[in-house]
Amino acid sequence: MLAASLVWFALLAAPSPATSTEFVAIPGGEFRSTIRYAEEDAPRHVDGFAMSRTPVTVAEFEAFVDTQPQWRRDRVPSLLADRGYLANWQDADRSGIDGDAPVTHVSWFAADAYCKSVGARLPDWSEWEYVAAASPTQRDARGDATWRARLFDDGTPRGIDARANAVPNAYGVSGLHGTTWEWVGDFSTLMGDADKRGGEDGDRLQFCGSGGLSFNNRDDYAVLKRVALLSAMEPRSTLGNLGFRCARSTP
Amino acid sequence: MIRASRNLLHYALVCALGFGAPLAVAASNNNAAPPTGAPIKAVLTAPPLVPPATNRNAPANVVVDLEVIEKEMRLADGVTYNFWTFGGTVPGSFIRVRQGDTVEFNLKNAHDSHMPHNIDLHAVSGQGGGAEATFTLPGHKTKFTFKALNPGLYVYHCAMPPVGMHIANGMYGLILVEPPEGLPKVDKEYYVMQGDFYTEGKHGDAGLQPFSLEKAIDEHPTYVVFNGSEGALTGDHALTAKAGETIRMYVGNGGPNLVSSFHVIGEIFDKVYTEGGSKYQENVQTTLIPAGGSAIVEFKADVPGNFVLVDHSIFRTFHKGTLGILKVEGEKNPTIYTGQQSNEEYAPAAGKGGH
Repeated sequence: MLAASLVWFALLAAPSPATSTEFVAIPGGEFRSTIRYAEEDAPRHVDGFAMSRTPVTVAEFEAFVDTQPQWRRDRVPSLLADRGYLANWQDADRSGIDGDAPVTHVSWFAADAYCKSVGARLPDWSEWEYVAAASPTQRDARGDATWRARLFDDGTPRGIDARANAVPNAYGVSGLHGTTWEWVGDFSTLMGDADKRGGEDGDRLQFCGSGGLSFNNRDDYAVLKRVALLSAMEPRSTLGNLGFRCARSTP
Repeated sequence: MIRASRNLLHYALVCALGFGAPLAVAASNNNAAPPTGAPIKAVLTAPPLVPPATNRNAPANVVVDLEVIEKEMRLADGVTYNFWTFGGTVPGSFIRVRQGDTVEFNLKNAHDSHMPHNIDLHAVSGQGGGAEATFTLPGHKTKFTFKALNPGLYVYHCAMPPVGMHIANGMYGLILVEPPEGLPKVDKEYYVMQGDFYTEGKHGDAGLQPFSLEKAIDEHPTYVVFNGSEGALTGDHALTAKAGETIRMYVGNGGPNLVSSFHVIGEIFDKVYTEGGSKYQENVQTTLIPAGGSAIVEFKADVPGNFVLVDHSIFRTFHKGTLGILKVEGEKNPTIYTGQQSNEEYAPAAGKGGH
């Protein structure tokens, strides 16, 4: 009921009909992240924005590669994508696989470029987490232990949104808890990177003394798994089960 | 924009790994010298088998190749579980090296894994037991090298957050670091490792059973088993020996939660290398094996029979699965054990009536 009236369509300038992306308006609100940010324990306000209803598909990404051939796997610089980039495609410009499936084997750089090409951007982690907290019936379903337990299967073919009978969440957004993980725009600001490892031992010990305190909810293993995954990524990395979707700030 | 501290989150992850690297202890003089010679590829075995003794009188360069594989496997009759494994089995492949060896450790994470994994070997003296060095994405491989400074039987496990879940899903195994003189020769060696499993359904509920975080936090396992499934060491899979043979079991406990009171019904352990260390206790009935710890038990199978491996926290044996069989065949020896010699009624005491 709340989502239907908020759906709006954005037909894009790209040449192929495969690139029509449907965005859903997400009303802003207060949200207590599972992750505790430095010096900030209170719920934070997430501004209203729009998120694509589904993950970017293989067909949509084929159309993107057509119009921006510098993102073909045989042309992309290795600085921007690792060797796994689109490695599951039959050819550099044609996937030969299900066009409706979420595109995977894409780097953060490529995902970022795709979203820009449709006049959008990657969602921030806080936006992603905010929308992904919704079940089909509740905008914040994190108190529903049964629903939350199913999220352990995120990133696998058993994910709740990978099922044939999966329905959109309370915002009208689909596929957030499916077979594929999703990039977020600010993943690198969320996570420690290789440069931080092994350094600053004093601080490390200090925090180890209060281990786990940086998660507001240390039982939220689905989010913890997702954070662990994203923390392992570099912007040029690709994975067979990592895709993305786009977002737009509200004008 | 998020103003998250990357340090803070990183520390949270590191803390969640539960790093506790063993203290470095100086190696004996014999083993301080760097190994020479061509690298040796370590033989890895699936449980309950153990690789052959290294039979070396000098340290070597040893290469270990281990792959993380996530797969659905049998947990009990009619019950399956999505295990995460080192080498495709629970517990993971047994690794055997010698004190003083320099071990090049290669960890692969299978292309179809859904998330990154790593390995913390308790045999490693160094940051995270190798966990940070082996932070491995699906479809990637990582490498680090360590010197096996201390002899003993050590647990290894995945230390990716959330650590408890990785261990609960079966990501543990054993690495033996032989002392320079090796271990005394025995007739049979076996690899047994206990683990507790937490499923949404009750014990015996059929089908693919999802992980229950609630039960794991409450430490109420649905299954407590040896070698990854109920029946892994019974029936056709029973361990075997002949009467008169000496047997050594490398026994680990992956946990994630329970401590094991390991016992073999009808046997006395002649030696127990308590907690997998260098000293042995003699003439032990039941030995305590901590979660994330081990023991080496040795005994002579004096007489034939079916000897039952249990966790003597005994409800686990009959209701959750910690039951294995060592089937010993051979000649009976009535001077040690006669079997039943009589079974008859005995007369009631006068005036007390019959039964």
